[in-house]
Order: sequence, then structure tokens, then C-alpha cells
Amino acid sequence: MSVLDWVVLFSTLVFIVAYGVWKTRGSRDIENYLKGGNEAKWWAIGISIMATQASAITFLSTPGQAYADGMRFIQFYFGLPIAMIILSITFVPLFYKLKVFTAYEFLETRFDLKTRSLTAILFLVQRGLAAGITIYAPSIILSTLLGWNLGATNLFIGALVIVYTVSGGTKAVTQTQKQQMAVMMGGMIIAGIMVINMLPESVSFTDAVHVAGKMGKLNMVNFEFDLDDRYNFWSGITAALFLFMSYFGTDQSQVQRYLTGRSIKESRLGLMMNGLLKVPMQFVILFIGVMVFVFYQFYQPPVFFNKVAKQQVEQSAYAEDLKNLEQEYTTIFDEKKEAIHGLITAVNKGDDARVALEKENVLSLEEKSNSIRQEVKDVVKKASPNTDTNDKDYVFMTFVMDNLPIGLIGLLFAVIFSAAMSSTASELNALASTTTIDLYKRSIKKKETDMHYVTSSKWFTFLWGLIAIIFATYLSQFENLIQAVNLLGSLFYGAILGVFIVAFYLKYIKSNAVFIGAIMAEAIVVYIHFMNSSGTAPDWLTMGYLWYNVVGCVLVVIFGFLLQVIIGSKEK
Amino acid sequence: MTEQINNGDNLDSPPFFKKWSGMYWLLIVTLALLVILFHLFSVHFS
Repeated sequence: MSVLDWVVLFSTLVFIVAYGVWKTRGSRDIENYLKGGNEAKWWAIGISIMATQASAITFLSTPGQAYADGMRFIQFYFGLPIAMIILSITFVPLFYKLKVFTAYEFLETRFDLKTRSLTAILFLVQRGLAAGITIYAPSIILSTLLGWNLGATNLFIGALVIVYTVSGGTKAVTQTQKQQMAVMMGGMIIAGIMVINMLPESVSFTDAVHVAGKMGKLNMVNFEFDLDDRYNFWSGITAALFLFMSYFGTDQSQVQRYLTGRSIKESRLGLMMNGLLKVPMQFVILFIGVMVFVFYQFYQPPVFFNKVAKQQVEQSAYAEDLKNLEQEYTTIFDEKKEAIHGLITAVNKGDDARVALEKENVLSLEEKSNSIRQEVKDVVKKASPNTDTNDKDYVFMTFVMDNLPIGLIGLLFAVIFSAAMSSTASELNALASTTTIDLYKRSIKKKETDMHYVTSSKWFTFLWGLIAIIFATYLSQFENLIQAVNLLGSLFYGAILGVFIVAFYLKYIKSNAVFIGAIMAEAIVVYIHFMNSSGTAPDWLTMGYLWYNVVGCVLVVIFGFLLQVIIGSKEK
Repeated sequence: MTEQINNGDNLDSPPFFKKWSGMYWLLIVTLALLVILFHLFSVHFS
């Protein structure tokens, strides 16, 4: 990167952190520190909700996913607006009525302390580990691209976040997320305009969209019902709906965002804003990925996007194999480019028969090209067995670094760092709130001054930040742990949502029934996952991980009801 | 600390709509339109 890029990157990040600290200095009471003094307007809440969900991986992986797999991932978000409506009607008024600081506080009012503590601890374990991944996942990619040390990159992201989150609490998180979101969306839109402008002069925007469509990248809606298929219309509006209800309704990192509102109206409008803008925002990010794919149909892409891993192969005994595969890749690329020009000409002439013929030719060349890439990945694996051969997360930033003008590269790196910081800040803030309110204040030090709890919250924020950085640093040695932690969310969200659904709607079910029901449901979800991952699940239990959310939630309700019938009759 | 303006008993109506249901319908109709547009877009260019 050039000096100008470094200046843009560092000045953007330093400005955001300094502004966040300065603007929110001097929080003296706990209400102010953890709920931002309930001053947030709806648009600030909406931005904060969106910035919390948009992690660095959203901007690194999503365009890469579109590049490799098309736009079908967008269906995952179809359940989100419906979840926003349900939460707005049910969860938000109750949280306000009880004036809670955390979602789990409500569960003690409805059930008992053990149910509150169980859900709070589940959240702390899951989100505490996830915070490490939120730092680690972009760090591994950014450190490779920038040539930084991985530990130093973890420390850089973690330390910046700790500075303003400890200093200003929730208000600082919300305040900085406004700037971070502006950088993220501004940077992505500029990148989108640039990639379209950089297409060859002979290729119009419509031609580019035709190429993407004919090559199967605009596969946005699939109405076929298949439990095993992670992304289709039905899984989006059912399974993902449950996931989003859990995430936005019971995960403190999101609940804390809308509890900062001046009133229910502001909180609800913040959720509505997220419901209206999320699907179009994901469309834009995925579409940029598709345009990067089209760009690379006319300008040869690297055969493997992780350049550091590729350089390792070039210095190994497999260098000759890689060279041969690269030559083959170039030959097929040239043939495919010609065929795509032929396809565009046929489309513009309206010659359907020739379009079908050229499309078939292009697709068969694309298949050959993909199989060479697969062979390259096999070579990378042989040369360096510990290297991750999934290079889709490197696609977008490789395009940025190789093709965008000086200054914009720094801005796009600022986008990724901002995204990492915005989601990590919300996580640390929520972890500190839950530790302070649900455990420390409730069960350890019950009657202290406000100032004492503010100081404790600051220390807990710092400690969780430190744990996240340490966990991120040692994650590289536990690759399987990452998968386990990612899965943890899907395994637990369903049961937690089930507990909340019972709390809200099924007053007949009492604390012991829901507590035991949740543990039983959780055990079954874990068993279903075990069967799915070992390939021993019968057909009717074979499902994508998104469906665990539905199963967990429904089972808590059923078990809770049955257990209440049994417990109730025994009590009589 | 600013007092929360209401506590769940007294809901203000949203801007541009008399009732919250109007706002919810806006979201549902927008989602439906987006799905239809995405589908037509995919079919047209495939």
C-alpha cells in the first residue's frame, strides 16, 4: 500500500476512536453507561443494530461468496423483516415496561433466578468466544494482505475497541457506529461504482449483468423446499426467522442496542429501519461480489487468491506443478473470454439459439477453470497442509489491492477494520453489561453505589476485551475450535428463544418445567447435530444447521408444556 | 439521565402512519416486492 493509503486508513480509525472517547467522556451513573442515558434516536438505533450485525467477515466473505456461489445467500435475510415486526410487537414493549438492562433480567421476573443465570451464562460463554472470532477472522486475512504479524493485528483491533468502549460505554459504541457505518457503506458503494467503471469499454453494465445471469450468479430466489439446502426461500422465511428472533430478541449484544432508545417508538423504528434496509444492503454487497466476478472474466484473476499461500507453494517442491496449472488456467481463461464476448454479441442481437450455444460453451469452460482451481488447492494443501484452501475471503480485497486507485485501497481497508471494530465493541459492551447486571450486581455485590457499578462495568469491558484478544491470538492453533464456536450459536439460540417464547406467551408453564425442558431440548439438538455431522441421521432428521434453531425452540415449548402438566398434577 | 418517555403502556404512533400495523404492512409489502423483483431479475438475465 502507498503512503496515502496508510494515511487514509489510520486517520479514519484514529478519528473514529478519538471522537468516540471525546464525545462520551464522563459517564457517572450505570444507566448512562450501560443504556446510553436512553437518549438514542431511532436512526441511531437502526445504524447501531446494523453495524453490530455487519462484522468484518460480512464485507470480506459476502462478496467472495457471491463470486463463488452467486447471490443465493440473500435468501438467508428474508426472515429478518418479519423477525423485526414480531420483536417490535412483543419483546420491545415488555423490556421497556420492566425497565431492564439485559434481556435475561426479564427471565427472573417471569421465572426465577436460576433460569436468568442459566441464559446469562450461556450468552457469556457463547458470545465471549465469538468475540475472539470477531477479531480473529478478519485478522488472519488482513495480516496476510498487509504483511502484518497476526498477533499484532489482533492486538491492534482489540486495543482500539477497548479504548473507546471502556471509556464511553454504550454511548461510545452507538456514537462510533454512526461513523463506522458511514465509512462501510461509503467505501462499498465507491468500490461498486469502480468495479462497474473498470469493465472493458465494449462491455456495458447490462452486458455485465447478462454475463452474471447466464453464468448462474444471479440465483437469488429458489422456491424449491429442501431441508438439507441451507439457502432457499423457505429456509429464509422460517429457519432464519427463528435465528433472527433469537439473535435480535435474546442476544444482549443486539438487545442493548435498542434499549438505548428514548422511547418504545424510537426502539421500534430502529428495528423497522433494520427490517427495511438489511435485504437491500445485502443485495448491494452480494451484487458487488458478482460484478467482481464479471470483472475477472475479462482480466485474468490469480489462480489462487491467498497470495502468501501461493508464494509458499512457489518456494516448495510443488512449484513446477503450480506453474503448469497456471499455464493451463491462462489458456482456458483466454478461451472463456472469447466465448463470453461471443455470448454478449448473441445477447445483443437477440439470437436465442446462439445465446444457448454460447452459454453452454462458457459454462463448460468455467467448469474446467474451476477444476483447475481445485487442483491448485490440492497442490497448496500438499505443499502446506495447515493452510486453509478456501480462498473466497481473499477475493474482494485482492481485487481492491490490485485494481483500485491509491487512497481508495486505504479506505476499503478502513471499511474492514471499522466493521471488525463495530461488532466487537457491541459484543464487549454486552458482555460487560450481562456480567455486571446479571451476575455481579445480582449475586455478588448487591448494594453498592452507581459509581461502583460503572467502574466494575469498565473493568469487565476491559477483561472481556483482553479475553477476546488472547482467544483470538491462540485460535490459529485450534482451527476445529472455530467451527465448534460457530456452531455453538446455532446449537444454543433455539433453546434460548424457546425459553423466551414460553416466558412471553405461555403463562401456564412455570420455571422448573421450562428449565428442565430447555436442558432436554438442548440435549436433543446436540444429538441431532451429532447424527448430521457423522452422516448417520435418518432422512427426516437430515437438516442444515439453520433448522436447529426451529427444532430447539419448538422442543422447549413442547417439553415445557408436557413437564408442566406432569409437575402440575403431582403438586395437586 | 433522560426519563424514558413511555414504559410500554402508552404507545406513540409511528411517523406517516396512524397505527403501527401500517408500518408493519410496509415492511411485509416491501419484502414481498423485493422477492418478486429478485425473482424476475434472476429469470430475465439467466
